[in-house]
Amino acid sequence: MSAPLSVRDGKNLAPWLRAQVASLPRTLRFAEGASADLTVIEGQGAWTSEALDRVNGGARRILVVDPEADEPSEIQRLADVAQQADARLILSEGFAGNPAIAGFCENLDGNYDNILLRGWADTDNRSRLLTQIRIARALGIQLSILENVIFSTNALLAEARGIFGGSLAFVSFGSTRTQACAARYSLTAHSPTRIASLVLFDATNARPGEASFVTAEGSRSLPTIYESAHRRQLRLLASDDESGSSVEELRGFAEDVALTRAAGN
Amino acid sequence: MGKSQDGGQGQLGVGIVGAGVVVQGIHAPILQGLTDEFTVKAIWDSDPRRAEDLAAHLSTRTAGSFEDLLADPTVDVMLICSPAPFHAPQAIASMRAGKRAVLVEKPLCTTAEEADAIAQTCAETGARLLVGSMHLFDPAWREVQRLLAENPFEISSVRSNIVLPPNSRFEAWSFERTNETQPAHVPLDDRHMMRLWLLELAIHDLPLIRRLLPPNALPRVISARLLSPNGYAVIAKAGDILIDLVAMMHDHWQPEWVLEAMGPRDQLEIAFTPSFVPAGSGRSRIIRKGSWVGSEPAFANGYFAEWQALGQAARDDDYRFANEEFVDDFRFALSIAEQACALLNGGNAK
Repeated sequence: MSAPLSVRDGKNLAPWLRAQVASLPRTLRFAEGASADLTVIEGQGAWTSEALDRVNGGARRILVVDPEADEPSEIQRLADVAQQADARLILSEGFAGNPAIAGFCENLDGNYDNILLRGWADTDNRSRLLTQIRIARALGIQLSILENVIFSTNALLAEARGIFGGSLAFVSFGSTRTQACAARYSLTAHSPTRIASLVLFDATNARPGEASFVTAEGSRSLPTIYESAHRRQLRLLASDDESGSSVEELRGFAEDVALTRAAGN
Repeated sequence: MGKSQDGGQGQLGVGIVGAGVVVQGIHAPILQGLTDEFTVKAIWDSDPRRAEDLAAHLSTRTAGSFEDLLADPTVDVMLICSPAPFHAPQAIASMRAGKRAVLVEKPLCTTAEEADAIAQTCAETGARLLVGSMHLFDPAWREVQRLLAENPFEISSVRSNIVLPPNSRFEAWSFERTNETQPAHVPLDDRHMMRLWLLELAIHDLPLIRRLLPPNALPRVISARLLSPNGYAVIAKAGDILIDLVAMMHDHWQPEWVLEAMGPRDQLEIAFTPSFVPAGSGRSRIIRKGSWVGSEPAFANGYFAEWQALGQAARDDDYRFANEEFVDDFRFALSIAEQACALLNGGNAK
């Protein structure tokens, strides 16, 4: 067994995040100082500039947990610097990074005409919209522009046309700020004969996403995955698998932030 | 006003206008389960054979004409299930003929002027008006209304999400057609299609949405589009509340009919059963900080409850609806439908 990789400044992480690191004792251990193998940054505030500092300071494996919107140009710059430094930087998103998404996408069957994205979370309108756009991207939905965007104090609705499964689909966004229930986002995709649905929960714990498919033969649910998005991404960053640490992912994030910001008031 | 044969305390005589699928599949079975309260006295349909088939099934007579039905003194209450353009004149004539109460299938009528005329006739005759908005009578909604009266909450958004297989999927499980005549398929342009969707499908939930909004709120429709292959998506705003209306009807088997209202601290959700099926009432939830109150499906559905309400209305017995409520429901729905149609811009939004 190889020695665990060290995670820098564990004491500064949120308790729930420290617990996730601690759940991987054969893979990770906490360490002090800049020489650690992994750096975990929480994605609030000016996380881009912090990540940039860490890359410039020599960090080569960085996990950004729940990245919020930051200046798209700064995110692009971070992507450039990470690429030049050959640094692996993973955006660990609580909803768009849910491990259920991969299985859901693998089981999609054909084209879908109408996609409904809905969200319930105690975050502001643009944060929820960004989360939904990120989920759409994770599902392979290519969006270009949002139409009929309408905000109220605590809710938003928007529409888009997106390429999904190779064909053009109507995409409807809707979400509301609420403390009534656990934060969750859902997607329902409809074809004339099939329905695919996915419900994603907050990744501060490991409540599994719910993926199901309705066809003429019946309804089928995918097996549950009791691993949070963040734990999955921590394992990925600690591994030699570089599939999730593309600068393209950062560039995509910058595009999605820009799309969110372009949505009218 | 007419009196029922037993002096108004026993069975109420029912006159039925229209013998189509809705009467065959919904009202006739309900009435057969409420024989202590109602007895069908006569049926009239513009297609005499269809009226005869249903009348034979219900062991009652056919009326030779609509006027013949109106003139029948044993008819206390009228059920109007003709095509929508006939609703207003037939409802008005029924009230003017002295019928105690009139149950009109939705939509109540087709124009604001007709709605005004119905409201005026109600006021002049004292007749009771009900519209077959079964979700309004559904025990799940009634429970939500009770809970909201006790603990109202601030609402940020309202969503009506209707996903339905074709009606034909359910019909065969709920009734046998007495007559297989199908209405001729008339192709509609996009504006007519949108109007039809909103006034015949969304209208199940629009009266409930109206009651969730502040009094007299009239939503401004922001966007409306028809969905492929069958459905609609409408976005509206009323004050600071967003309204999301989506429906899809396509060839699958899984229905989902949800009305949701969200607030900063509360979530209201009602899951209704599809139309036609006698599957009981909806299920309601009001969730606050992870805990919920609400109701599980009850035996009686909204159709059953609307007939009970009609009986109460005709007898003036603990009846809780004002005629004007139903007229206002229609005005509300019509406003949304007309705004949505106008936004289709000649029918190219699909």
